Amino acid sequence: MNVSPGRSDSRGAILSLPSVIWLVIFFAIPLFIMLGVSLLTRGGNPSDYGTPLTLQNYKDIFTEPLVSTLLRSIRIALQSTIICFVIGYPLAVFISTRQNTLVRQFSLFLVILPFWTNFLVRTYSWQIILGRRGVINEILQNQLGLIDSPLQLINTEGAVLLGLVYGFLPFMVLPIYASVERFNFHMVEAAHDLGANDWYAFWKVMFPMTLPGVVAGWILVFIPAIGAFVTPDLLGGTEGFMVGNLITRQFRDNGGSWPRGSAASIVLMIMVGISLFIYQRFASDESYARAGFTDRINRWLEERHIRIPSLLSSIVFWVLLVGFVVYLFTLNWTQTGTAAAVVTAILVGINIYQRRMERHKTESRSYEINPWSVRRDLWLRRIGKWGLAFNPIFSYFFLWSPIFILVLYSFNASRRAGGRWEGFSTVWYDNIFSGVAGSRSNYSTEEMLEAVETSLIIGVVGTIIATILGTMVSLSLERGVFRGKRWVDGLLYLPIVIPDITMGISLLVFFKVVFDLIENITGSRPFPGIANVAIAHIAFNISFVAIVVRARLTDMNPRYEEAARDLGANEWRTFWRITYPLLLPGIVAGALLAFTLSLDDFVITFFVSGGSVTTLTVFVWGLVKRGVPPEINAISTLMILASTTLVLISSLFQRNASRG
Amino acid sequence: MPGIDVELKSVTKEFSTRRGETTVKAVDNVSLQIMDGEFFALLGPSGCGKTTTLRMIAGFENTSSGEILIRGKPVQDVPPFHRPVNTVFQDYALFPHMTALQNVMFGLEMERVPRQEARDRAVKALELVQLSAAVNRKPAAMSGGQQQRVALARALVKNPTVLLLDEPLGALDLKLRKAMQYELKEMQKRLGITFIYVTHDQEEALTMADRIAVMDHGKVLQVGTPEEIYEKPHTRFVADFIGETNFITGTLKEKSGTQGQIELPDGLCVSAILDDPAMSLGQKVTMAIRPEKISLIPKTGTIKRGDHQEVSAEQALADLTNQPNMVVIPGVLWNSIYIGTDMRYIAEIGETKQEIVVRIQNFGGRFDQRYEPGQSIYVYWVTENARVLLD
Repeated sequence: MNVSPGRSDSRGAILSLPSVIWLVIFFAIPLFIMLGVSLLTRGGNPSDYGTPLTLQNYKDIFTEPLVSTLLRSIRIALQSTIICFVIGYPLAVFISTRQNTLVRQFSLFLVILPFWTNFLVRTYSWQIILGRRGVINEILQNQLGLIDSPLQLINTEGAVLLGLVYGFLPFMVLPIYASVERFNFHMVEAAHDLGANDWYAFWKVMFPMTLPGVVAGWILVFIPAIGAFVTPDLLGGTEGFMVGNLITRQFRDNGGSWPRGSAASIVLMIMVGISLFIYQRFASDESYARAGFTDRINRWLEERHIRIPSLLSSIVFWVLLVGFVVYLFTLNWTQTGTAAAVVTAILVGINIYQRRMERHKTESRSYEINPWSVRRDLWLRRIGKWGLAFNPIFSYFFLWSPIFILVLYSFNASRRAGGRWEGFSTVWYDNIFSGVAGSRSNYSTEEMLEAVETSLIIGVVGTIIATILGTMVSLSLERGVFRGKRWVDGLLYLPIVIPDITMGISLLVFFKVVFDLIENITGSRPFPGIANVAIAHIAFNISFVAIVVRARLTDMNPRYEEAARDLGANEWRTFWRITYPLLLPGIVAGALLAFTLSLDDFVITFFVSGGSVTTLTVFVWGLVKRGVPPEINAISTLMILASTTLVLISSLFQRNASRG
Repeated sequence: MPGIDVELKSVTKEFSTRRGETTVKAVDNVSLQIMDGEFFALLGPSGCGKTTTLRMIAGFENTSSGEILIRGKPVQDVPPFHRPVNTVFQDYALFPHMTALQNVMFGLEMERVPRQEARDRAVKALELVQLSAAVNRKPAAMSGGQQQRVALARALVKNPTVLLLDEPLGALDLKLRKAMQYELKEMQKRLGITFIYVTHDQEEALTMADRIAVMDHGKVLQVGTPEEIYEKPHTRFVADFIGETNFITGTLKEKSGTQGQIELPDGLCVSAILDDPAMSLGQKVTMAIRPEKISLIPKTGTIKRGDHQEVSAEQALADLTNQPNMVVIPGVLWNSIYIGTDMRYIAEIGETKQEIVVRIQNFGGRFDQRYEPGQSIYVYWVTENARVLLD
């Protein structure tokens, strides 16, 4: 082979180039432009800005009333992360400990499927349940007669929290599942053998060892939760107003200000950056080492010969932890104090009890089994077992009931989208396709079909380009050798972790700047259209395709390719004859993921197009915001059906591939 | 007289199969008494229930029926973390997020031993297993042998009443395994702790254990000292599993006390020791003879005997047949294998051409008598060395 030495140093770099260019232009540069805009002075219109440079926009955000929105967002995001963890960890353990492969796959599937159905639709379904005349109020008031007037469930902070937990629970479960799946339960036996009861075996051994998955879950929930826009908008009203709503208002309302909105986006990005930094520290290869945080504190104290009684240190630790959580949820110092006192009392109690028991301990090789501590530990085990048994029942009910209710109500004869059941009817399905406008005249079949067509065009074109670019960059990163790989890696990773609202805003600002430029040169101003939306979708889908394809490539033995080359195939023929056929299932899976994400996306489309491009999600959004016609349940049901079919096809495809 | 440390009374463990229709008895009515300070080996092929037995003693599995007592106290309802036993796991199960020292300290932490004392004891335990240098290393940075030592130190530091070892040397290479066998045995003697040692390696059990329980299909077939197990196996399985054995089937013709006359299929009658004097006449039985207890003489030619003495084959045969308690059977060699310490000959004897393996030690030099395949020979053994077993 006549490969020049210079070339072999940078093999495959060229395949990264298209993706890198795309992501630099449509992802990185927009972020920098947004950063620039955030430092400019606002003008008369929301979208006007100019010099001088100022930090006023940031000052605005960190003073009332905006700062309380920021704090509320952080609080709600932390709360939803904690709740997702408390529900998600046992659920992940439940799934990964199923012995039967089919049962395990099915349990996992039940978590993944809601995650593939449209986020907007899933969030909307809570309106049916929580609304003033929603399912819960209907049951409590009219069926059971427990209350006289409807409870205020929707448009509260609690509703937002519920919606976020519902929306992001799968993000918590999946990485933890991956960690627990790899966890060797022998370790728990070893801990038991050494005298650790279930409590210690979990916190000292299992939890630290699965921490990488836990931290990944925390990040994957916290980041989208803090940048959430759809959930607080649909479920929160003014009570649950979050940063996402604040940013939207700056860009879409008359009283808004693009510089201020950009500044809010930057603040959001900084918070995301901080959480990613924490993630890097905890979930890297040396993760276990990082987990020994208390050990490090202990060592630090030991080196300085400071002795803190273990009782005191455990009281400090638990009071801080419990106090933080209680305060986060109650914002009430009295209750926080009470909780702290209770924790202290329990710890002191246990300590006194243990000291008394230790006096009974006898020396030498005879031994005593303390019946009380045996009983205590068996109760602990029983509680754990019940929790582990109850959790999946609750979780699956929680994940699936809104979907069932949505489907059920699509057959409700009532003219209201939620509320009382007035008999079975398929009239709303008929209406969708017969062009009848429903309760208000904001619906037409034609518009809907147009929206579907727009979605499909963007989806297909975007998916094809993203799949090609994503596959190329995967090959380059997995099989190539060149400098700067880490940078490409980082660039690919960012679009996934950045809140979609930030990406949408930055592209909105970017396209405005570009259009301004075009107007200055040509004199005519273009309008954002399908192409812009497709560009944005490709920008985030390259990364998702790359994740899936790279996973497949990592599993693939590079010896196949070497064998082909050994048998005389050049790189081009090696790719098409060997790599490509073996990689195809991964490529298809990546393409299906990209297509689904493209159809699912609302936030980025909404911002990039400035409302001028109506995809199906934008259309549904319009319906939900303007009066909720009864047809919406039927449309949502059809959307769920479509995405379910897509997932089933994709999983069948992957199963066949793994069998082949 | 030492007391009983661990006692199993008719312990049975049933596992239901996946569909729950049938149950499999992993451990079937096992009764054992393990003495204080004893090195006790549970020996058997994989799937014989030895590990399940160990796990029931440790408390990781519940018994389906029967009773387990540790120092006279029943422990069925005691979870593993309250039992005075510790385990060295087959895969060591070292906590990967802790250093060697932290691993060893873990058990003491759980006992609420003060930190400084715990550290001192852990360091001492690591010294005991000669691992002082690797104290602050994580398991991933240690060799298999080092991990094995940490696992041992981690269990020993708790001063267990009984130490359970589940094939602890299985993952080590041969040289290291031999060295560790010796070391473990020494350590056990020195510390006086009762060891229950699960292994499928008969040689390991023979070299290390004070007593061995041979298990198969969930049942204990025989319990005894290594010598008893090797020299006086009660069943064909035990004889076969421990060392190498020739089996010759026949019918019990006559018996007086433990002596029996066995008729071979070709009509030849040989005498042997009855394992069970209650065997009835006319019963089909198996005779077991170890290969090293069989000798050869050639049918023709001469044979070297003692110093500078050569006798003819005929004379040698006559000498043998004149001895009481000697069985002599003609045969033909068909293979000889050189294996260093000894020669292995495979012969067909009698009219039924029963295959038999003979091992003759390689003395070297002038004592060496070599035989060639195809040569006609006589095999002979002392009757006490042939034991009649039930199938």
